[in-house]
Amino acid sequence: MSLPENIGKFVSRLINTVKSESADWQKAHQSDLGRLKEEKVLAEAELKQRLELMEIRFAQECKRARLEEERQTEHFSEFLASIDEMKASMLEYYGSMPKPIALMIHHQAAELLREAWHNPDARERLQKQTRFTSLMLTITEDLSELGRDGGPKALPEKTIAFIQNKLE
Amino acid sequence: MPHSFSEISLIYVSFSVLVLYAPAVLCALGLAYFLYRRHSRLERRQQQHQRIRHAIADKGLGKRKRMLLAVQRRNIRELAKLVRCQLKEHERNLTPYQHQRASSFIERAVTTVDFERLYTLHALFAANAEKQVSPAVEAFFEHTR
Repeated sequence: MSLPENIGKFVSRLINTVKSESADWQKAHQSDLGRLKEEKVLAEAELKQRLELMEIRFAQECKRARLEEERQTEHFSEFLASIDEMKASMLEYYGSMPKPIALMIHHQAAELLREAWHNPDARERLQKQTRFTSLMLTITEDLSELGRDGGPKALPEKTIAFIQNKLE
Repeated sequence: MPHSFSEISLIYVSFSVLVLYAPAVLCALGLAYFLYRRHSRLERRQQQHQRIRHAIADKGLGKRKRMLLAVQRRNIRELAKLVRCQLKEHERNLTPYQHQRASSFIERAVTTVDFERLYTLHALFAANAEKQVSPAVEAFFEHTR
């Protein structure tokens, strides 16, 4: 008998042995295999259910996050509009005030707003929010005092003092 | 029949390339598969969700930053317009180099929203008499270099 024939027989014998061993093993552990199969089906069903619930929760969370972002952007645009409005009011009510001063106040307010919203440090953000609110209140105070205390003023003195205090 | 040198070298080179690179490619594939299977399906979905959440937040933040920049640019353009007028008025008192430098500074300040320095230039033009403008502008650019 030639060498390739020997090898062929050896391989076929080996395959037959493995097959019969596997069949014997499966016969001996049939009950365990059945149980494992059932457990697998159950686990797959459970996983599918958990994934479905997760998908619903994630979809809701994403929707909430989008709405929250839209709300924040809307608030932010309102603040930006109030800064522009404040500049227009100042130029209107303080007739003799040089325009660059109004532009400087606008710039300071915008910078404070940026810090109040975009600073990564939460404490800094809070401080700047307070400062931004104080600045806007000071501007409102200056505007409301116009004409009340003995005639019109040339400049919004309290606002300028507030900004100078910040710059120093 | 003996093989030529080029034929032998071709076989050896391609074989050595295969021997060297095939294990590396297999290792990389194995590592990628390991990293992929390291997390369960639930964990992978959770991570994907976190990425989506961050993307939503980043998009909102980006939009707000662009809105703020637009408002600041509009404001600084108004100042730039005033400073350009001042520059025109002082054109005779400045050297051509200073004039060119000042006008390019104005453009740059608008682009980078450098309000403080543009305001300083405006104050400088406003505060100095005709003869004093040139040295003041020189000193300004010395400081802002």
